[in-house]
Amino acid sequence: MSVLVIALGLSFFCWSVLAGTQRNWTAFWEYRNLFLKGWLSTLQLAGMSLIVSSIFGILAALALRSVILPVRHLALFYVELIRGLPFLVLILLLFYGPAEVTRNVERFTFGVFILSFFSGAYIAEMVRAGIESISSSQWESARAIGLSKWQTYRFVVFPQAIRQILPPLAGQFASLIKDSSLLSVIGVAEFTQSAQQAFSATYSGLESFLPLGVGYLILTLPVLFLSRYLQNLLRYEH
Amino acid sequence: MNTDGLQIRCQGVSKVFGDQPVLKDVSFEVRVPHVLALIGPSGGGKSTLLRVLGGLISPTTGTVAVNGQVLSKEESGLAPYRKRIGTVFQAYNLFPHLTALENVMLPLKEVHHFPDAEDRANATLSRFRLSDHMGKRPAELSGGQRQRVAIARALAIDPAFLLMDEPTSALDPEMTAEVLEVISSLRSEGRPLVLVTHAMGFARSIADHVLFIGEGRIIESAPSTEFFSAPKAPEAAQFLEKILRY
Repeated sequence: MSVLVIALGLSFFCWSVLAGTQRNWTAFWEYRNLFLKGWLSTLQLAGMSLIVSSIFGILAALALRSVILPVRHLALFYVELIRGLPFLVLILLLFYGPAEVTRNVERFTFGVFILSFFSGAYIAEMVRAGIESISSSQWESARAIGLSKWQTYRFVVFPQAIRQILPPLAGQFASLIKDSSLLSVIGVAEFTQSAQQAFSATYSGLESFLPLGVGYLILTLPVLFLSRYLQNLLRYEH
Repeated sequence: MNTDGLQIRCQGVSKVFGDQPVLKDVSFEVRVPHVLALIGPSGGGKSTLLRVLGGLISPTTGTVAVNGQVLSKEESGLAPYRKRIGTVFQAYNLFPHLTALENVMLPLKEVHHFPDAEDRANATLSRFRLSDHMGKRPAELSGGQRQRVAIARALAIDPAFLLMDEPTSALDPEMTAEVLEVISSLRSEGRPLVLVTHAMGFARSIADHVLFIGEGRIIESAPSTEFFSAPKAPEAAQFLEKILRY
């Protein structure tokens, strides 16, 4: 019964919001190509950043475990600095700092870099936690059978750590997709910027920003389901 | 294979973990045809000495020579030395994400580059009556089967000698028996073995020589028959009396 009431209430709310007399859905239809272009651009931005940030993350995680003290401190500085800064502040700092000095920086490439730089710090912590979940007896066994350090990572540590890392990494990918929307403030041509362009051209806010929300959910929900699925898989497969 | 037995010489070996001395100026020289047993109370330094002999840790001071070869203090020198030794630990030896066969194959393939790695691994596992369990992961094996796989992995590379650190102390009596049986069979094939154990009856039956270790020192070094019938050091006599009483 309560479900029915909630469903009815929601439908009425949605109907009144979506079909209000001032709504102008033709504006969205008119700008559909702009939306699609932005959406695809965000997908590309997030996909490339996932790869680059994973590389940053793995390198930083290894650096965090380095026996060379300056390398370890540098990695720690990177990770804590990034984790302590809001993403928007980091974007503005890097854009009006180093990027402004070079002037002719390509926006999309810069977007991939900055998103990866940001996300890499979080991934570094996930990878580090995954590596540290491997018990010292595994390292000793690997040493005893004569594996080199690199071989130990490759054959013993990473295959086991990846089971710990994958669920939070999938979650991080969802965050990365969402965070990419902030790149619109420095003019990276992505999904949020498309919606803002459509909005300023038509002055129809909900008709621009509702498709924006739906578009992000289409990207993030499958990733979040994947993360949950991997978590369950990890729990039962022992 | 080495059929000349095993010769070990330690001179002034000490090991300090943090500010905790674990081995204190250990010096001895032994030559055994087959089996050297390290026995003594827990925390006395047996496992640490075994890890020094296996090149897994470097002593803080002193030198160790095995079969005339002085062990390097550098990781770069110890790594090739370790490759020629088979080591079996108390428990959690195996890699849980690999099957029994893959566990045995990993060092054969990646460290020793045997072209017939799979056949060798197969043959060694079959020898320990593990043919039916080759495709299983450690979690699907019993404790005794796991230790037998670990011994197979150590043996498959045809090591110069074997080191075992309390290989049965995590097992129940029935499984202990099945693992000890396997270890006995190694003696008959003549491969030297250094064994840390709490199983006194087994040590007595298998060892040629015994090092009794306590508080980081060698308290007694004697042939097995002498040691077990009439230990000279009072600490050893006390230990044996206590352990053999029940």
